[in-house]
Amino acid sequence: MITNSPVRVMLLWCPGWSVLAARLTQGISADQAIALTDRGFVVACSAAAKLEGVTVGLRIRQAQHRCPELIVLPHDVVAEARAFEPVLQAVEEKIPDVHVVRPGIAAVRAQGAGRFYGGEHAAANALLAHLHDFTEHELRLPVDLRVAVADGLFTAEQAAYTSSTVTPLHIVPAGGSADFLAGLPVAVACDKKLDNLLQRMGIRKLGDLVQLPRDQVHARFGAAGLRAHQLASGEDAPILSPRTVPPELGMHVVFDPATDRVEQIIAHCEPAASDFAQLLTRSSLICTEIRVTVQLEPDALFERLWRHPWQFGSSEVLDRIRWQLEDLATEAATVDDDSLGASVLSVQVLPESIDNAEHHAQGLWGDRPDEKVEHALTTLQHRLGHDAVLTGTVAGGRLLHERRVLRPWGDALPTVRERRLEQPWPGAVPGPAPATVFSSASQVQVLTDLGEPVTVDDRGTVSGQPAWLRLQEGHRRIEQWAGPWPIQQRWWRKGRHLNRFQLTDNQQAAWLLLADGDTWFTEARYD
Amino acid sequence: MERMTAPTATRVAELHDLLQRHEQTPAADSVPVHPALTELFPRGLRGGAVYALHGSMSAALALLAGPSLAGSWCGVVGLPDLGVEAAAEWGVRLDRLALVPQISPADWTSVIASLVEVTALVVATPPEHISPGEVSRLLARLRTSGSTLVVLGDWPRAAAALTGRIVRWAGLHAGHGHLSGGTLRFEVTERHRTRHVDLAIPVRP
Repeated sequence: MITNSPVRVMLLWCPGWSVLAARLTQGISADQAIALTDRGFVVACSAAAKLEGVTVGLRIRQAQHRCPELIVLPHDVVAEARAFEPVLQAVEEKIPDVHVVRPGIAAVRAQGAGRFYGGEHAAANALLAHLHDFTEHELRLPVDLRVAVADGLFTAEQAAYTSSTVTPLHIVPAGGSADFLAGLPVAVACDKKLDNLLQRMGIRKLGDLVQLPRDQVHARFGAAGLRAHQLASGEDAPILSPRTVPPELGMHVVFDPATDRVEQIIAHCEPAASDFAQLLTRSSLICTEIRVTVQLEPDALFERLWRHPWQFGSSEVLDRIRWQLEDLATEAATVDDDSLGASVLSVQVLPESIDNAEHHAQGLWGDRPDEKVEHALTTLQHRLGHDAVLTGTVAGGRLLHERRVLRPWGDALPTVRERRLEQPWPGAVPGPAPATVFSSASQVQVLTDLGEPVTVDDRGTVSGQPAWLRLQEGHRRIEQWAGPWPIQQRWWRKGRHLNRFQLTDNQQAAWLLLADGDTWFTEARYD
Repeated sequence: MERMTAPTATRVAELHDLLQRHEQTPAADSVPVHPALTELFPRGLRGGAVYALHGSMSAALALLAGPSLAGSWCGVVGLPDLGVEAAAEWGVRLDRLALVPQISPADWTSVIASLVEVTALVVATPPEHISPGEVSRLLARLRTSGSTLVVLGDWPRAAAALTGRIVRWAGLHAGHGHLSGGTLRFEVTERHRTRHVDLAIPVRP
């Protein structure tokens, strides 16, 4: 929105912030030549690089040709924004409600600050002094800082660009935007295409553009032309949108003195967990992944990631903490049921993946199970343990126990892509799936008619006709059989070379057996 | 007298017809069965009852498929070796199947009792010993929830004894071929009468 009366803006500009941020994060000294690149082109470079002839817009290879000792780094906008964060906090110490234009440029409303410090000049000087102090002592880096005060963000930014190291402060008086902007080239207010067109028409300065009637500019150059005309006449948005700092989510419970009682720890965590859940609800966020970190007394961390298919509430968080502590107790294998091997100093819960609640609002036919079912199964899990109640799905694989994926209730099942079911899987068993897939393979013997064990050698040759199957519960006569079907699985890791056999016995049971040389295992039974 | 008997006879026939129709339509508190089993259980499995199943695991999967196809949740207790893929082939919806693979005998009754509250059918291996008190308490819970329990083994006072066994396998020969299908014979013994149906494996919808 653009109006006649834009807000009075005080703008802070740190020239060459991209390079400064890269130096701050990478720890590169000031006299080295750095170039930041994006998709093969230089987007920013340090003063030392400029002296060697590196300019913005150059190809990496050309830049390296001009300056062989050039340090080339990818342009990381996120890291740049992160490095700007302490500067923003320093600005907020003097003047609240900072609007971040982009990393390196921040703006505040000048009106209130001007009243408080007794004039815009005094306010800008106070801000500059504070920031110089901050950058020298905190960042330990001489940062070039410029401040401009003007009507609207656009004018303030242009004013900041016209300032210099000697006079780092430029104030454009209220209502003087059009006069100030008149001398600037049109390129600052429009894109390359429109700039090119205006140049060729002889409109070189913003002052020339303002002379033209607005409705005709609009008619000839469209929305871009209208916007350029408005900016050139000193009209801009009447508001600044201050940045919102996201609330600090997560919980941290410290135990003093350290304790090793699970119940005590849970009881201590309870209020913090309910605060955590309430904070999430209040920020209309939902959390589907948390990282629980338990700090133990002799300086050890026990960390684990927990997932939830829908969202974590306070009781779910407490359950995860309890299960993690119980795992710790089983690892320590103490005699006492309720105590851990070591004392716990603190428990920390941090949300790992957070999403807007509105994205997860239940549809009319939500894919979320019935609340009653969810409650009953969660209660059951609470009583029996995390991995006692499972849900399952089918995944791709050659061995049958790999195809059966079981996950604790509440944990996310693998996605369709992770399951890779549609891939060919050579060596998978054809025909109907067996109804019983043994979770632990038991050893059996396969004998020939003469009672000799059947073996399969490395080349897949079977030593004799399988005739008898000796199980734990007795002998069975093999009626039909087929095999060996080699399972070529991860041969590059020197995995076992298995051969699969399918056979039916005289009691009409069908089996899948795995042969590893002369040892035989039951894999599955068709019954 | 002649005039009296004719309307009475038609009335009796009408009532008989009504009774039969009532018997054939599934009752409100019954658990649906797989379409291939409707011949055996025309009114579905009785809600609030316990069935004892012997033999084949495929028969258990066939029973699970019924309520699962109808959109209900099912539970499986004490079967760590359940073939999930085979269950899916029978039509069991895996996203509506809760598995409790390992269970201590002390927890058995309470776990089954809380599962039947939310599921239509629970398939479970029975504990080695169960007291008559626990049996009657479980039956009461089953009756209020209207769901069915299928026990893989013996059970005192089961509603019916079910047996599933594979009678024939096809596709496998001496040294070659692979299993391509089979026949599952499903028998129901109820009030000393036995009826059976043969199902082809894999089932075709």
